[in-house]
Amino acid sequence: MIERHRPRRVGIACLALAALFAQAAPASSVKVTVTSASGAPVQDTVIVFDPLDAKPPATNETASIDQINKRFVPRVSVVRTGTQITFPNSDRIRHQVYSFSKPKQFSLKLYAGSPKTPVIFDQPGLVVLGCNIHDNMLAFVGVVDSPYFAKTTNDGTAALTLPAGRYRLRAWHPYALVAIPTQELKVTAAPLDVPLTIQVGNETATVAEWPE
Amino acid sequence: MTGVTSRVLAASILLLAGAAASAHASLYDRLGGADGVAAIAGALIDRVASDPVLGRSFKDSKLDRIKRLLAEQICDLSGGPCRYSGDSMKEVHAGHHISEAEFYGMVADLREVLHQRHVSQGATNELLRLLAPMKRDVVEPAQSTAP
Repeated sequence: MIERHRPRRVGIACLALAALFAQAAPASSVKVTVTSASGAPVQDTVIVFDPLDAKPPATNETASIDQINKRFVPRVSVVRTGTQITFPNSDRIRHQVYSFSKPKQFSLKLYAGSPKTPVIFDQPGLVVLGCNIHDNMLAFVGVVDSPYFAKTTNDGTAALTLPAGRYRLRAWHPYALVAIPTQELKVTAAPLDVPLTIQVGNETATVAEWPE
Repeated sequence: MTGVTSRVLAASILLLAGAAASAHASLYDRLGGADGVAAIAGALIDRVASDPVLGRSFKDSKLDRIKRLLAEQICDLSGGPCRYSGDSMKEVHAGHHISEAEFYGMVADLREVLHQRHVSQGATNELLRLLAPMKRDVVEPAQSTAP
């Protein structure tokens, strides 16, 4: 009896594995490189791939934006809609984080060493954060419906792994002087390199419009 | 009654009335009411924020906000029509490690501001008496380890 059952179990396991592989489309690596007109790498550019085919299921995501030496760290964040963001305070002095932005308006008093409940960013769009107490504290949170996003690092690149399919690519930088055009592209099994050139002003420039 | 006598009498009565009013005027009124208190708070914060020593704990801070809240606090304390809406003095100063010398430095600046605005010695002392108990929440004991 045992001998006869064993092969059948293996068979079921194989079928289950095959089903798993059939569901997940082959993933492909995509590298976006953002440079200025002069070829310098541009850090902190938000890169979003909105899937045009299947919409991936929602997940419970968390993120964190710290206060260090009267600065928000990180200065630029990108999160999926519904993400819970915590605001720790690594400074010994207090802060008062606020947002007047339409997708999420809130105000949070932060004292040294007293954690607060996270803030849920439940609407897509751009949220600009400031501190009531300190000048020059500024941070940006891009809230997106897609789970496929990244931020360029100091070499101007952002690496993503995407299931094959069609996407709309959006890019945003807080001080982009000209809106970065969105584009549609197809991800296949082959690795993809996407170069983007943007024009960035200094930090006194008006905050760039968010690509919806 | 001659015209002169009646005029002297009237002036005396007015003087007496004035003295009585000033004795009963609230500290808030003697500081100059809303405008006086706003000017005192503004001048004090400008003075301490630009001080090479005291300015340290005001660095990168929104001074207009501090001036507004300080004016509100003085108005509240001195019997004016305000309710202080800011955080407690302990929360406000936590982490800044304000020394006793810095606290008294700010008191000296406040005295100077009040003097420049011709606030009476009586009103000055009264205000300082109201502010003095804040010292225990503002001053943080010196750290044994270097920062």
